[in-house]
Amino acid sequence: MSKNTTQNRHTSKFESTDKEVTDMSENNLLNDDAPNFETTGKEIAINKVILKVRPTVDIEEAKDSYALSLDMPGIDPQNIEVHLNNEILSIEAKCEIDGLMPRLYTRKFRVMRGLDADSISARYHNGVLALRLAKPSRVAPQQIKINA
Amino acid sequence: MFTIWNNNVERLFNHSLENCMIREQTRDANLFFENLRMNLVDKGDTFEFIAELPGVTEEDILLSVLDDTLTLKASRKIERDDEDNAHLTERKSFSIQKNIPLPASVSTDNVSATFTSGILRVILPRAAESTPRRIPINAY
Repeated sequence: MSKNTTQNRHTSKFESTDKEVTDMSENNLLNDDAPNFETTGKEIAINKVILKVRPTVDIEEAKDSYALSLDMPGIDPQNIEVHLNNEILSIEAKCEIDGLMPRLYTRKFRVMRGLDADSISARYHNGVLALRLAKPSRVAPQQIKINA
Repeated sequence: MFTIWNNNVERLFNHSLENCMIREQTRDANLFFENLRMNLVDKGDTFEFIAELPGVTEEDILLSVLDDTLTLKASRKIERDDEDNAHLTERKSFSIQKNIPLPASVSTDNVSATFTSGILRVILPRAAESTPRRIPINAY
């Protein structure tokens, strides 16, 4: 896959999400972290070609949580890495299946402020990673007293 | 008033918008299907067919083999409770049928298949008559 086609493909569909990223209102949306797009592509290490792949994702919002589903077939659940760091949720897993080229599934999302890593639960079934993110409880706005 | 509106609607659909939307969808779907891989490996005594089918359950996979063609049917349905609550919907429902030509005929009675973590693996032993046999040459 050449770099050119990659870019062409992305301009149409993901532009809308790009815009969402810039508008980072802290109160809700989980935003796809668009800048990481550039990392998609072949990374050539010594004697080893590993293709980085962005898994397709569904994000659905419920009253008190978000549900993410990612298509990531052929992964050992023990090798799935889910990290939360500075409001960036990153998911990474290597797919090493006999008969298929190895792949690295990787995707990052910008999440709302205050999300607790402990509130994330994960389940892997039939090649689909399902993450559940409990929404952080809203902190009441504090009034600041002005002393005359 | 009505005619104006009508004309506008017609123009809208006759023009690029509709085409544009269709193209968008297919491109989207292509992106998705490019991610699903299949492969057939010749392992000598056996052929191995591997297919990525994430989010599919065993019941929705149908495999059949006839002579030297393997047929795979698989489908999945993505159910969304409420489209309004969806922030991203990249995953697609699909229903596929693939005919995979095998390089030689296989022993259809001994074909086995497993499905784990979204990976289908079919093992097809070569039919005895399809393995190359050395023909002795008699000298007189």
